[in-house]
Amino acid sequence: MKRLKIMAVVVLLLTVLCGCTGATYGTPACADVTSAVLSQIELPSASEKNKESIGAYYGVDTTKIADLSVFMCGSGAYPDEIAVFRFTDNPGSKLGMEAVDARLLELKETFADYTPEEMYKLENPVIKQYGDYVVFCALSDNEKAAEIIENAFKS
Amino acid sequence: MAKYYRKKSGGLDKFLSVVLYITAAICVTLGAIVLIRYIAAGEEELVITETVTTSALTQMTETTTAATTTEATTAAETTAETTESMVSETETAWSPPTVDELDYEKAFFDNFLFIGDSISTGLSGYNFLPVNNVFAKQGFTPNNIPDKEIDGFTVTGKAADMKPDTIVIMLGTNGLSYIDTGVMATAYGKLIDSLKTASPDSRIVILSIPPVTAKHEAEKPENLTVINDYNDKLKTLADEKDAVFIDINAILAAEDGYTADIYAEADGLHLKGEAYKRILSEIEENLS
Repeated sequence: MKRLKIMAVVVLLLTVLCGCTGATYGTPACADVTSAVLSQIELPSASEKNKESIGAYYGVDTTKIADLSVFMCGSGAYPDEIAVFRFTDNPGSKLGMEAVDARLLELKETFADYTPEEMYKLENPVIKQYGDYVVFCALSDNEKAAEIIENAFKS
Repeated sequence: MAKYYRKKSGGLDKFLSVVLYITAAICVTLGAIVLIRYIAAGEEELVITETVTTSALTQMTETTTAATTTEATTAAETTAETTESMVSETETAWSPPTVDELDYEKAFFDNFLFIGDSISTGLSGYNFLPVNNVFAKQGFTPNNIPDKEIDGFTVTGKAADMKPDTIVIMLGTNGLSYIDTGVMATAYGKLIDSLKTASPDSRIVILSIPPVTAKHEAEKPENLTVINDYNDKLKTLADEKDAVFIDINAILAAEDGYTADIYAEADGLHLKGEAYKRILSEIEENLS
């Protein structure tokens, strides 16, 4: 009876632990994520950045970028931005998160005095890591963007 | 359970029993949470589907009631087309706005350095020029730019490092609301002098600053009167400093002097992509 109880505890514990291990995410194309967001939330004068030009805006190691989709406001009038990166490995995505934090700080410094009325877009941006993906999104409706992005990464 | 605990069993046995019950409770709780979330997700999708179906049915009912037999047939066809287009709109992925083909030679600007404020950031923002060829940022004025840095370079440092063939300056819009145009023009002249020191062989080009829209003028400090006054001063400055003056204000303005709709960003101050294409082709034409 004692042995039976011990086995039952072990089995239950293993079951719980398996359920609590790291969440799994989908692996969408980065462009599909940005498209899903921007089809519902406007990014004024959206201008796309590629792997060659992204280094001027984000301090990422471009050799560790497997995929990206980045849009900014081309006119310089607004801080709206969405960036989805997929890195080749976890260290790359870790550095990617740091780069996103730095980018947010830069945007805040730029627009704080320039157009204070736009700062609400930078107050609660979406900054999230999904495995090897790093997502940054600062738009007029970040709450809605977060939902869309979360759905895009459902496995 | 009470009956069980009355029995005098060993300590380990009791301990294992407690752990067993707690672990079982955790598993049941987690399972319940997962089940509730699964059901909630399903109900949400069902509500959205029902809402769409209901509104579509309502539209169809209103259209049919108001029409004659012939009109009803036509309306039904129209509704079917509308439904089809709704479906196709839903299925069409978003794509960014595009600018028509360039009508200037991109390579012409390879060794140019553009200096400016947020409006000039559009040159690289819209990918017309590489970031390295644009020293510009929100808030720059002729008065404060000497104290600013981008990527570790001051404006004169950038010019000294790059030694561009041509330096094109478009500055002043930011200062219109709080700096006298004469004071700005004086600072502008000092900037040109320092750039000539940093890169003596560079040709200096002064661009007039763009107009604004009527809507912007009605709501903000920047207006055509002060813009035109400042641009007149820039023209005089260009003569004094032996610089080239290019009037891009004229090419961006509509007949009434305000920014043409095709070029105006929503805020009425900044510019859309088409404007930069126009500006660059105007510069190439003037300097060729």
